[in-house]
Amino acid sequence: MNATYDHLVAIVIVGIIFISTVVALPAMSFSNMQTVDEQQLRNTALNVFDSMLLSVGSPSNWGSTDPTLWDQNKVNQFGLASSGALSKYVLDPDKVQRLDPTNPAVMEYERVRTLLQLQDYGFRLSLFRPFSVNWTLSLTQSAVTFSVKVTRTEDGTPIPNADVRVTTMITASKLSQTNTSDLIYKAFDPKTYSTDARGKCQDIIETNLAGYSLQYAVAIIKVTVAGMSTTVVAQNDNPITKFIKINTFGDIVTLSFRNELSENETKSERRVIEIDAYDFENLYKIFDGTAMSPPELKVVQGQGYEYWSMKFQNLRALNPTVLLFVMQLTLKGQGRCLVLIAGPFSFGGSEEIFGFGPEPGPEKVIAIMTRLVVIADMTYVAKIAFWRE
Amino acid sequence: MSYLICSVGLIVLILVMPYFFSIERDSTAEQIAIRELTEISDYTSNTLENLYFLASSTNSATLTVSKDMIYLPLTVQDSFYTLSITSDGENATKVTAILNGKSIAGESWLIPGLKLTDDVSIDISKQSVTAYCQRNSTGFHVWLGGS
Repeated sequence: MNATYDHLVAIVIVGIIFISTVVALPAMSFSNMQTVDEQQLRNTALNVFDSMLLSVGSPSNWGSTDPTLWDQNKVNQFGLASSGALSKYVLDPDKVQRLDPTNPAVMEYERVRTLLQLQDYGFRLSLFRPFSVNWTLSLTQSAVTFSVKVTRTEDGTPIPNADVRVTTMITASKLSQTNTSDLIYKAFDPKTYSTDARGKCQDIIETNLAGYSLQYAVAIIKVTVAGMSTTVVAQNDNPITKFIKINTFGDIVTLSFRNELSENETKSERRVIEIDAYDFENLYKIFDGTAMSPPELKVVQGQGYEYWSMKFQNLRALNPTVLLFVMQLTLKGQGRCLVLIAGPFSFGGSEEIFGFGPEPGPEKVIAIMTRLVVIADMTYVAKIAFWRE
Repeated sequence: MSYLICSVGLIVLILVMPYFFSIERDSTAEQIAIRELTEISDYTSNTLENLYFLASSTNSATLTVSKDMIYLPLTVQDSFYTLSITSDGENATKVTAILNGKSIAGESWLIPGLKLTDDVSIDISKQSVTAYCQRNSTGFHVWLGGS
Protein backbone atom coordinates (compact mmCIF):
# COMPACT_ATOMS: atom_id res chain seq x y z
CA MET A 1 0.00 0.00 0.00
CA ASN A 2 2.79 2.40 0.96
CA ALA A 3 4.55 1.65 -2.31
CA THR A 4 1.42 2.63 -4.28
CA TYR A 5 1.25 5.97 -2.45
CA ASP A 6 4.93 6.35 -3.07
CA HIS A 7 4.41 5.86 -6.81
CA LEU A 8 1.46 8.21 -6.93
CA VAL A 9 3.37 10.96 -5.14
CA ALA A 10 6.30 10.54 -7.49
CA ILE A 11 4.07 10.64 -10.57
CA VAL A 12 2.28 13.73 -9.29
CA ILE A 13 5.58 15.51 -8.56
CA VAL A 14 6.97 14.70 -12.00
CA GLY A 15 3.68 15.70 -13.61
CA ILE A 16 3.65 19.06 -11.80
CA ILE A 17 7.24 19.77 -12.83
CA PHE A 18 6.47 18.82 -16.43
CA ILE A 19 3.25 20.82 -16.73
CA SER A 20 4.60 23.89 -14.96
CA THR A 21 7.65 23.88 -17.22
CA VAL A 22 5.72 23.39 -20.44
CA VAL A 23 2.71 25.60 -19.61
CA ALA A 24 3.85 28.26 -17.15
CA LEU A 25 6.90 29.54 -19.02
CA PRO A 26 5.08 30.10 -22.35
CA ALA A 27 2.26 31.74 -20.41
CA MET A 28 4.75 34.16 -18.86
CA SER A 29 6.12 35.09 -22.25
CA PHE A 30 2.53 35.42 -23.55
CA SER A 31 1.73 38.03 -20.89
CA ASN A 32 4.79 40.02 -22.02
CA MET A 33 3.54 39.77 -25.61
CA GLN A 34 0.15 41.03 -24.51
CA THR A 35 1.77 44.13 -23.01
CA VAL A 36 3.43 44.83 -26.35
CA ASP A 37 0.09 44.27 -28.11
CA GLU A 38 -1.57 46.81 -25.81
CA GLN A 39 1.15 49.34 -26.59
CA GLN A 40 0.72 48.77 -30.31
CA LEU A 41 -3.05 49.13 -29.96
CA ARG A 42 -2.37 52.46 -28.26
CA ASN A 43 -0.17 53.49 -31.20
CA THR A 44 -2.98 52.75 -33.63
CA ALA A 45 -5.52 54.48 -31.37
CA LEU A 46 -3.29 57.55 -31.26
CA ASN A 47 -3.07 57.67 -35.06
CA VAL A 48 -6.81 57.18 -35.49
CA PHE A 49 -7.62 59.77 -32.80
CA ASP A 50 -5.29 62.33 -34.38
CA SER A 51 -6.82 61.59 -37.75
CA MET A 52 -10.32 62.28 -36.39
CA LEU A 53 -9.36 65.45 -34.55
CA LEU A 54 -6.80 66.99 -36.91
CA SER A 55 -8.20 66.13 -40.33
CA VAL A 56 -10.94 68.30 -41.85
CA GLY A 57 -12.27 65.45 -43.97
CA SER A 58 -13.46 65.70 -47.54
CA PRO A 59 -15.30 67.77 -48.60
CA SER A 60 -13.83 70.10 -46.02
CA ASN A 61 -17.27 71.48 -45.07
CA TRP A 62 -19.09 68.13 -45.09
CA GLY A 63 -20.83 68.88 -41.79
CA SER A 64 -22.48 72.03 -43.11
CA THR A 65 -24.31 70.39 -46.01
CA ASP A 66 -27.94 71.49 -46.26
CA PRO A 67 -30.02 68.82 -44.42
CA THR A 68 -32.26 68.35 -47.48
CA LEU A 69 -29.17 67.50 -49.59
CA TRP A 70 -27.41 65.39 -46.94
CA ASP A 71 -26.08 62.01 -48.02
CA GLN A 72 -23.45 60.41 -45.81
CA ASN A 73 -22.11 58.49 -48.81
CA LYS A 74 -20.99 61.79 -50.34
CA VAL A 75 -18.47 62.24 -47.53
CA ASN A 76 -15.21 60.88 -48.92
CA GLN A 77 -13.00 61.33 -45.91
CA PHE A 78 -13.78 61.62 -42.22
CA GLY A 79 -12.36 64.32 -39.98
CA LEU A 80 -13.87 66.63 -37.38
CA ALA A 81 -11.41 69.54 -37.48
CA SER A 82 -12.64 72.99 -38.35
CA SER A 83 -11.44 73.92 -41.83
CA GLY A 84 -10.69 77.56 -41.01
CA ALA A 85 -8.99 77.04 -37.66
CA LEU A 86 -5.48 78.33 -37.14
CA SER A 87 -4.95 76.12 -34.09
CA LYS A 88 -4.98 72.36 -33.76
CA TYR A 89 -7.74 70.40 -32.04
CA VAL A 90 -10.39 72.98 -32.91
CA LEU A 91 -13.44 70.99 -34.02
CA ASP A 92 -16.26 72.04 -36.33
CA PRO A 93 -19.54 72.05 -34.32
CA ASP A 94 -21.51 71.14 -37.47
CA LYS A 95 -19.39 68.03 -38.02
CA VAL A 96 -19.63 66.96 -34.39
CA GLN A 97 -23.43 67.32 -34.54
CA ARG A 98 -23.56 64.92 -37.50
CA LEU A 99 -22.45 62.16 -35.12
CA ASP A 100 -25.52 62.61 -32.93
CA PRO A 101 -27.95 59.78 -33.83
CA THR A 102 -30.99 61.99 -33.09
CA ASN A 103 -29.88 64.42 -35.79
CA PRO A 104 -31.95 64.77 -39.02
CA ALA A 105 -28.70 64.42 -41.01
CA VAL A 106 -26.61 61.81 -39.29
CA MET A 107 -23.30 60.11 -40.05
CA GLU A 108 -23.61 56.49 -39.00
CA TYR A 109 -20.99 54.59 -37.03
CA GLU A 110 -20.48 51.95 -39.73
CA ARG A 111 -19.96 54.65 -42.36
CA VAL A 112 -17.28 56.26 -40.20
CA ARG A 113 -15.57 52.91 -39.72
CA THR A 114 -15.59 52.36 -43.47
CA LEU A 115 -14.19 55.82 -44.17
CA LEU A 116 -11.43 55.36 -41.60
CA GLN A 117 -10.75 51.82 -42.85
CA LEU A 118 -11.21 50.45 -39.36
CA GLN A 119 -12.93 47.19 -40.27
CA ASP A 120 -10.80 45.24 -37.79
CA TYR A 121 -11.29 47.71 -34.95
CA GLY A 122 -14.10 49.21 -32.91
CA PHE A 123 -14.17 52.57 -31.18
CA ARG A 124 -16.30 54.89 -29.11
CA LEU A 125 -15.73 58.63 -29.27
CA SER A 126 -17.07 60.68 -26.33
CA LEU A 127 -17.08 64.34 -25.39
CA PHE A 128 -16.86 65.35 -21.74
CA ARG A 129 -16.79 68.57 -19.80
CA PRO A 130 -13.33 69.44 -18.41
CA PHE A 131 -14.89 69.36 -14.95
CA SER A 132 -18.19 68.16 -13.55
CA VAL A 133 -21.09 70.58 -13.07
CA ASN A 134 -24.24 69.43 -11.27
CA TRP A 135 -27.23 71.73 -11.11
CA THR A 136 -30.77 72.01 -9.82
CA LEU A 137 -33.39 74.45 -11.04
CA SER A 138 -36.92 74.85 -9.75
CA LEU A 139 -39.74 77.36 -10.10
CA THR A 140 -42.20 78.95 -7.75
CA GLN A 141 -44.98 81.16 -9.06
CA SER A 142 -42.69 84.19 -9.31
CA ALA A 143 -39.09 83.08 -8.71
CA VAL A 144 -36.42 80.82 -10.20
CA THR A 145 -34.23 78.95 -7.73
CA PHE A 146 -31.02 77.35 -8.92
CA SER A 147 -27.92 75.79 -7.45
CA VAL A 148 -24.65 74.73 -9.05
CA LYS A 149 -21.97 72.38 -7.76
CA VAL A 150 -18.59 72.28 -9.50
CA THR A 151 -16.32 69.29 -8.87
CA ARG A 152 -13.28 67.62 -10.38
CA THR A 153 -14.26 64.88 -12.80
CA GLU A 154 -11.49 62.55 -11.62
CA ASP A 155 -12.32 62.29 -7.92
CA GLY A 156 -15.34 64.50 -7.24
CA THR A 157 -13.31 67.03 -5.19
CA PRO A 158 -15.22 70.34 -4.89
CA ILE A 159 -13.73 73.29 -6.80
CA PRO A 160 -13.98 76.52 -4.80
CA ASN A 161 -13.85 80.01 -6.36
CA ALA A 162 -15.06 78.84 -9.75
CA ASP A 163 -16.50 81.75 -11.70
CA VAL A 164 -20.20 81.07 -12.44
CA ARG A 165 -22.07 83.33 -14.85
CA VAL A 166 -25.80 82.68 -15.12
CA THR A 167 -28.04 83.99 -17.89
CA THR A 168 -31.70 83.21 -17.27
CA MET A 169 -34.76 83.26 -19.50
CA ILE A 170 -38.29 82.47 -18.38
CA THR A 171 -41.74 82.10 -19.89
CA ALA A 172 -44.88 82.95 -17.94
CA SER A 173 -48.62 83.01 -18.35
CA LYS A 174 -51.17 85.39 -16.91
CA LEU A 175 -53.09 83.78 -14.08
CA SER A 176 -56.31 84.27 -16.05
CA GLN A 177 -55.16 83.59 -19.61
CA THR A 178 -57.50 84.79 -22.36
CA ASN A 179 -55.31 85.07 -25.50
CA THR A 180 -51.72 84.73 -26.68
CA SER A 181 -50.79 88.21 -25.47
CA ASP A 182 -51.11 86.79 -21.95
CA LEU A 183 -48.05 84.62 -22.63
CA ILE A 184 -44.76 86.38 -22.09
CA TYR A 185 -41.06 85.56 -22.05
CA LYS A 186 -38.22 87.48 -20.55
CA ALA A 187 -34.44 87.28 -20.44
CA PHE A 188 -32.61 88.50 -17.36
CA ASP A 189 -29.21 90.17 -17.37
CA PRO A 190 -26.34 87.78 -16.61
CA LYS A 191 -25.30 87.52 -12.96
CA THR A 192 -21.91 86.36 -11.75
CA TYR A 193 -21.23 84.18 -8.70
CA SER A 194 -18.32 82.29 -7.13
CA THR A 195 -18.47 78.80 -5.71
CA ASP A 196 -17.83 78.39 -1.98
CA ALA A 197 -15.50 75.90 -0.26
CA ARG A 198 -17.98 73.10 -1.05
CA GLY A 199 -17.88 74.02 -4.75
CA LYS A 200 -21.45 75.31 -4.55
CA CYS A 201 -23.34 78.47 -5.33
CA GLN A 202 -27.04 79.18 -5.44
CA ASP A 203 -29.49 82.03 -5.81
CA ILE A 204 -33.14 82.92 -6.13
CA ILE A 205 -34.02 85.14 -9.07
CA GLU A 206 -37.19 87.11 -8.42
CA THR A 207 -39.02 87.79 -11.68
CA ASN A 208 -41.28 90.53 -10.28
CA LEU A 209 -44.05 89.62 -12.70
CA ALA A 210 -47.19 90.43 -10.75
CA GLY A 211 -50.25 88.58 -11.99
CA TYR A 212 -48.23 86.01 -13.93
CA SER A 213 -47.29 82.43 -13.17
CA LEU A 214 -43.92 81.06 -14.29
CA GLN A 215 -44.11 78.14 -16.76
CA TYR A 216 -40.61 77.36 -17.98
CA ALA A 217 -37.11 78.59 -17.20
CA VAL A 218 -33.71 78.03 -18.75
CA ALA A 219 -30.47 79.09 -17.09
CA ILE A 220 -27.36 79.11 -19.28
CA ILE A 221 -24.55 78.62 -16.79
CA LYS A 222 -20.99 79.35 -17.86
CA VAL A 223 -18.48 77.98 -15.36
CA THR A 224 -14.85 79.07 -15.57
CA VAL A 225 -12.06 77.36 -13.65
CA ALA A 226 -8.44 78.44 -14.14
CA GLY A 227 -9.23 80.03 -17.49
CA MET A 228 -11.07 76.96 -18.79
CA SER A 229 -14.81 77.34 -19.36
CA THR A 230 -17.75 75.03 -19.82
CA THR A 231 -21.41 75.78 -20.38
CA VAL A 232 -24.34 73.98 -18.77
CA VAL A 233 -27.97 74.51 -19.70
CA ALA A 234 -30.22 74.04 -16.68
CA GLN A 235 -33.97 73.93 -17.12
CA ASN A 236 -36.98 72.94 -15.09
CA ASP A 237 -38.57 69.55 -15.66
CA ASN A 238 -40.06 69.64 -19.14
CA PRO A 239 -40.98 66.39 -20.95
CA ILE A 240 -41.41 68.24 -24.26
CA THR A 241 -37.77 69.23 -24.70
CA LYS A 242 -36.59 65.67 -25.30
CA PHE A 243 -38.75 65.49 -28.44
CA ILE A 244 -37.50 68.78 -29.90
CA LYS A 245 -33.94 69.18 -31.04
CA ILE A 246 -31.89 72.04 -32.48
CA ASN A 247 -29.20 71.48 -35.10
CA THR A 248 -27.05 73.74 -37.21
CA PHE A 249 -25.76 73.21 -40.74
CA GLY A 250 -23.46 76.13 -41.49
CA ASP A 251 -25.78 79.15 -41.55
CA ILE A 252 -28.93 76.98 -41.45
CA VAL A 253 -30.69 76.27 -38.17
CA THR A 254 -33.17 73.39 -37.96
CA LEU A 255 -35.65 72.54 -35.26
CA SER A 256 -36.78 68.93 -35.50
CA PHE A 257 -39.84 67.46 -33.81
CA ARG A 258 -40.01 63.77 -33.16
CA ASN A 259 -43.39 62.22 -33.89
CA GLU A 260 -43.77 61.36 -30.19
CA LEU A 261 -44.34 65.08 -29.59
CA SER A 262 -47.79 64.87 -31.20
CA GLU A 263 -48.91 62.60 -28.33
CA ASN A 264 -48.35 65.50 -25.94
CA GLU A 265 -49.84 68.33 -27.96
CA THR A 266 -52.99 69.20 -29.84
CA LYS A 267 -53.00 69.81 -33.60
CA SER A 268 -52.81 73.58 -33.12
CA GLU A 269 -50.25 75.78 -34.78
CA ARG A 270 -46.63 75.72 -33.60
CA ARG A 271 -44.81 79.00 -33.78
CA VAL A 272 -41.25 80.10 -33.30
CA ILE A 273 -41.55 83.32 -31.32
CA GLU A 274 -37.89 84.14 -30.92
CA ILE A 275 -34.42 82.66 -31.43
CA ASP A 276 -31.47 83.84 -29.36
CA ALA A 277 -27.80 83.01 -29.74
CA TYR A 278 -25.54 82.75 -26.70
CA ASP A 279 -21.91 83.58 -27.44
CA PHE A 280 -20.37 82.90 -24.01
CA GLU A 281 -21.26 86.32 -22.66
CA ASN A 282 -24.76 87.41 -23.62
CA LEU A 283 -27.91 86.43 -25.47
CA TYR A 284 -28.39 87.99 -28.90
CA LYS A 285 -31.74 87.94 -30.63
CA ILE A 286 -31.28 86.55 -34.15
CA PHE A 287 -34.95 85.97 -35.05
CA ASP A 288 -38.14 87.75 -34.09
CA GLY A 289 -41.30 85.82 -34.94
CA THR A 290 -43.66 88.25 -33.22
CA ALA A 291 -43.84 90.47 -36.30
CA MET A 292 -47.13 90.64 -38.19
CA SER A 293 -45.68 88.68 -41.10
CA PRO A 294 -42.78 86.65 -39.73
CA PRO A 295 -40.27 85.13 -42.19
CA GLU A 296 -41.36 81.83 -43.66
CA LEU A 297 -40.07 78.71 -41.96
CA LYS A 298 -39.44 75.76 -44.23
CA VAL A 299 -41.08 72.51 -43.04
CA VAL A 300 -39.54 69.18 -44.11
CA GLN A 301 -40.95 65.72 -43.35
CA GLY A 302 -38.40 63.17 -42.22
CA GLN A 303 -38.68 59.54 -41.08
CA GLY A 304 -40.10 59.66 -37.56
CA TYR A 305 -39.84 63.44 -37.31
CA GLU A 306 -40.45 66.70 -39.09
CA TYR A 307 -38.29 69.77 -38.98
CA TRP A 308 -38.27 73.45 -39.67
CA SER A 309 -35.25 75.15 -41.08
CA MET A 310 -34.17 78.71 -41.65
CA LYS A 311 -31.03 80.38 -42.89
CA PHE A 312 -29.29 83.11 -40.90
CA GLN A 313 -26.52 85.08 -42.56
CA ASN A 314 -23.21 84.83 -40.67
CA LEU A 315 -24.50 82.36 -38.09
CA ARG A 316 -21.44 80.20 -38.70
CA ALA A 317 -19.17 83.19 -38.20
CA LEU A 318 -20.98 84.05 -34.96
CA ASN A 319 -20.34 80.44 -33.84
CA PRO A 320 -22.81 80.48 -30.93
CA THR A 321 -22.31 78.06 -28.06
CA VAL A 322 -26.04 77.74 -27.38
CA LEU A 323 -29.15 78.55 -29.41
CA LEU A 324 -32.31 79.24 -27.44
CA PHE A 325 -35.74 78.93 -29.05
CA VAL A 326 -38.93 80.38 -27.63
CA MET A 327 -41.71 78.18 -29.05
CA GLN A 328 -45.45 78.56 -28.80
CA LEU A 329 -47.11 75.15 -28.47
CA THR A 330 -50.52 73.92 -27.41
CA LEU A 331 -50.03 71.04 -25.00
CA LYS A 332 -52.60 68.56 -23.87
CA GLY A 333 -53.82 69.34 -20.36
CA GLN A 334 -51.95 72.63 -20.28
CA GLY A 335 -53.22 74.60 -23.24
CA ARG A 336 -51.26 77.20 -25.13
CA CYS A 337 -47.87 78.00 -23.65
CA LEU A 338 -44.41 79.23 -24.43
CA VAL A 339 -41.67 76.60 -24.24
CA LEU A 340 -37.90 77.17 -24.14
CA ILE A 341 -35.68 74.83 -26.16
CA ALA A 342 -31.87 74.94 -25.95
CA GLY A 343 -29.30 73.29 -28.20
CA PRO A 344 -27.62 72.18 -30.40
CA PHE A 345 -25.76 69.93 -27.94
CA SER A 346 -27.37 68.35 -24.92
CA PHE A 347 -25.75 70.62 -22.37
CA GLY A 348 -27.83 69.32 -19.49
CA GLY A 349 -25.55 66.44 -18.49
CA SER A 350 -23.03 67.01 -15.73
CA GLU A 351 -20.10 65.27 -17.46
CA GLU A 352 -20.57 63.47 -20.82
CA ILE A 353 -22.06 65.60 -23.59
CA PHE A 354 -22.51 62.65 -25.94
CA GLY A 355 -20.91 59.43 -27.13
CA PHE A 356 -20.56 58.00 -30.63
CA GLY A 357 -20.16 54.27 -31.23
CA PRO A 358 -20.97 51.17 -29.18
CA GLU A 359 -19.73 50.46 -25.68
CA PRO A 360 -16.80 48.00 -25.75
CA GLY A 361 -17.41 44.50 -24.43
CA PRO A 362 -15.94 43.73 -20.99
CA GLU A 363 -13.62 41.08 -22.43
CA LYS A 364 -11.91 43.40 -24.90
CA VAL A 365 -8.47 44.96 -24.47
CA ILE A 366 -9.11 48.67 -24.79
CA ALA A 367 -6.80 51.59 -25.48
CA ILE A 368 -8.16 54.83 -24.07
CA MET A 369 -6.84 58.25 -25.05
CA THR A 370 -8.00 61.75 -24.21
CA ARG A 371 -7.36 65.18 -25.73
CA LEU A 372 -8.54 68.68 -24.94
CA VAL A 373 -10.52 70.03 -27.90
CA VAL A 374 -12.31 73.28 -28.60
CA ILE A 375 -15.82 73.41 -30.05
CA ALA A 376 -17.54 76.77 -30.52
CA ASP A 377 -14.86 78.44 -28.34
CA MET A 378 -15.53 76.05 -25.47
CA THR A 379 -13.10 73.46 -24.18
CA TYR A 380 -14.12 69.80 -23.95
CA VAL A 381 -12.32 66.58 -23.20
CA ALA A 382 -12.51 64.23 -26.20
CA LYS A 383 -11.99 60.57 -25.33
CA ILE A 384 -11.59 57.57 -27.59
CA ALA A 385 -11.93 53.97 -26.46
CA PHE A 386 -10.35 51.74 -29.09
CA TRP A 387 -10.27 47.96 -29.40
CA ARG A 388 -9.73 45.08 -31.80
CA GLU A 389 -12.90 43.41 -33.01
CA MET B 1 10.50 2.70 -6.68
CA SER B 2 9.48 6.36 -6.47
CA TYR B 3 13.12 7.37 -6.78
CA LEU B 4 13.27 5.45 -9.99
CA ILE B 5 10.09 7.05 -11.36
CA CYS B 6 11.26 10.53 -10.40
CA SER B 7 14.70 9.95 -11.88
CA VAL B 8 13.34 8.49 -15.11
CA GLY B 9 10.76 11.30 -15.25
CA LEU B 10 13.40 13.98 -14.84
CA ILE B 11 15.67 12.36 -17.41
CA VAL B 12 12.78 12.21 -19.88
CA LEU B 13 11.97 15.80 -19.03
CA ILE B 14 15.55 16.88 -19.64
CA LEU B 15 15.56 15.08 -23.00
CA VAL B 16 12.12 16.25 -24.09
CA MET B 17 12.21 19.85 -22.86
CA PRO B 18 14.72 21.15 -25.42
CA TYR B 19 12.35 20.01 -28.13
CA PHE B 20 9.40 21.81 -26.54
CA PHE B 21 11.53 24.84 -25.84
CA SER B 22 12.81 24.95 -29.39
CA ILE B 23 9.21 25.08 -30.62
CA GLU B 24 8.37 27.72 -28.04
CA ARG B 25 11.54 29.66 -28.77
CA ASP B 26 10.81 29.74 -32.51
CA SER B 27 7.23 30.78 -31.86
CA THR B 28 8.31 33.49 -29.41
CA ALA B 29 11.00 34.73 -31.78
CA GLU B 30 8.43 34.95 -34.56
CA GLN B 31 5.96 36.77 -32.33
CA ILE B 32 8.66 39.21 -31.21
CA ALA B 33 9.66 39.75 -34.84
CA ILE B 34 6.04 40.46 -35.79
CA ARG B 35 5.75 42.98 -32.99
CA GLU B 36 9.06 44.62 -33.87
CA LEU B 37 7.92 44.87 -37.48
CA THR B 38 4.58 46.32 -36.32
CA GLU B 39 6.52 48.84 -34.25
CA ILE B 40 8.50 49.79 -37.36
CA SER B 41 5.37 50.11 -39.50
CA ASP B 42 3.71 52.15 -36.69
CA TYR B 43 6.66 54.53 -36.77
CA THR B 44 6.47 54.81 -40.56
CA SER B 45 2.69 55.27 -40.52
CA ASN B 46 2.97 57.93 -37.83
CA THR B 47 5.67 59.78 -39.78
CA LEU B 48 3.58 59.76 -42.97
CA GLU B 49 0.55 60.95 -40.99
CA ASN B 50 2.50 63.84 -39.47
CA LEU B 51 3.79 64.84 -42.90
CA TYR B 52 0.23 64.77 -44.23
CA PHE B 53 -1.05 67.01 -41.40
CA LEU B 54 1.89 69.35 -41.96
CA ALA B 55 1.22 69.54 -45.71
CA SER B 56 -2.53 69.98 -45.29
CA SER B 57 -2.14 72.73 -42.68
CA THR B 58 -0.58 75.14 -45.19
CA ASN B 59 -2.26 77.17 -47.90
CA SER B 60 0.34 76.12 -50.43
CA ALA B 61 -1.30 74.21 -53.27
CA THR B 62 1.90 72.40 -54.25
CA LEU B 63 4.59 71.33 -51.88
CA THR B 64 6.63 68.31 -50.85
CA VAL B 65 7.64 67.63 -47.28
CA SER B 66 9.99 64.89 -46.13
CA LYS B 67 11.39 63.36 -42.97
CA ASP B 68 14.41 61.14 -42.51
CA MET B 69 13.40 58.04 -40.61
CA ILE B 70 16.50 57.90 -38.45
CA TYR B 71 15.07 55.54 -35.84
CA LEU B 72 14.52 52.64 -38.22
CA PRO B 73 16.64 49.63 -37.20
CA LEU B 74 18.82 48.01 -39.85
CA THR B 75 17.72 44.49 -38.97
CA VAL B 76 14.97 42.69 -37.13
CA GLN B 77 15.96 39.40 -35.47
CA ASP B 78 19.20 39.56 -37.48
CA SER B 79 17.33 39.74 -40.78
CA PHE B 80 16.94 42.62 -43.21
CA TYR B 81 13.42 43.69 -44.00
CA THR B 82 11.39 45.55 -46.61
CA LEU B 83 9.10 48.45 -45.85
CA SER B 84 6.15 49.03 -48.16
CA ILE B 85 2.94 51.00 -48.43
CA THR B 86 0.11 48.82 -49.66
CA SER B 87 -3.00 50.12 -51.38
CA ASP B 88 -6.44 49.15 -52.55
CA GLY B 89 -5.67 50.39 -56.07
CA GLU B 90 -5.15 54.13 -55.87
CA ASN B 91 -5.36 54.93 -52.17
CA ALA B 92 -2.83 53.92 -49.54
CA THR B 93 -4.36 51.69 -46.91
CA LYS B 94 -1.60 50.42 -44.64
CA VAL B 95 2.13 50.24 -44.03
CA THR B 96 3.70 46.79 -44.03
CA ALA B 97 7.15 45.72 -42.83
CA ILE B 98 8.15 42.20 -43.96
CA LEU B 99 11.30 40.21 -43.22
CA ASN B 100 13.26 39.50 -46.40
CA GLY B 101 12.89 35.90 -47.51
CA LYS B 102 10.30 35.08 -44.86
CA SER B 103 6.57 35.47 -44.56
CA ILE B 104 6.77 37.29 -41.22
CA ALA B 105 5.26 40.74 -41.40
CA GLY B 106 3.81 43.51 -39.26
CA GLU B 107 1.38 46.10 -40.54
CA SER B 108 -0.12 49.36 -39.36
CA TRP B 109 -3.19 51.46 -39.97
CA LEU B 110 -2.61 54.43 -42.27
CA ILE B 111 -4.70 57.56 -42.35
CA PRO B 112 -7.21 57.34 -45.26
CA GLY B 113 -7.13 59.71 -48.21
CA LEU B 114 -3.44 59.38 -49.08
CA LYS B 115 -2.53 58.44 -52.65
CA LEU B 116 0.40 56.38 -53.79
CA THR B 117 3.13 57.04 -56.31
CA ASP B 118 4.88 54.16 -58.05
CA ASP B 119 7.68 53.64 -55.54
CA VAL B 120 5.97 52.15 -52.56
CA SER B 121 8.47 49.53 -51.41
CA ILE B 122 12.00 49.88 -50.11
CA ASP B 123 14.60 47.34 -48.95
CA ILE B 124 16.11 48.61 -45.71
CA SER B 125 19.34 46.64 -46.12
CA LYS B 126 20.68 48.93 -48.81
CA GLN B 127 19.87 52.46 -47.76
CA SER B 128 18.54 54.87 -45.18
CA VAL B 129 14.90 55.76 -45.58
CA THR B 130 13.11 59.06 -46.04
CA ALA B 131 9.32 59.47 -45.94
CA TYR B 132 7.76 61.93 -48.38
CA CYS B 133 4.37 63.56 -48.71
CA GLN B 134 3.55 65.68 -51.72
CA ARG B 135 0.53 67.92 -52.04
CA ASN B 136 -0.59 68.75 -55.57
CA SER B 137 -3.77 69.31 -57.54
CA THR B 138 -4.69 65.61 -57.42
CA GLY B 139 -4.36 65.21 -53.66
CA PHE B 140 -1.77 64.05 -51.15
CA HIS B 141 0.76 61.52 -52.41
CA VAL B 142 3.09 59.57 -50.12
CA TRP B 143 6.10 57.42 -50.81
CA LEU B 144 9.31 56.13 -49.24
CA GLY B 145 12.68 57.00 -50.71
CA GLY B 146 16.19 55.68 -50.09
CA SER B 147 19.49 57.50 -50.02
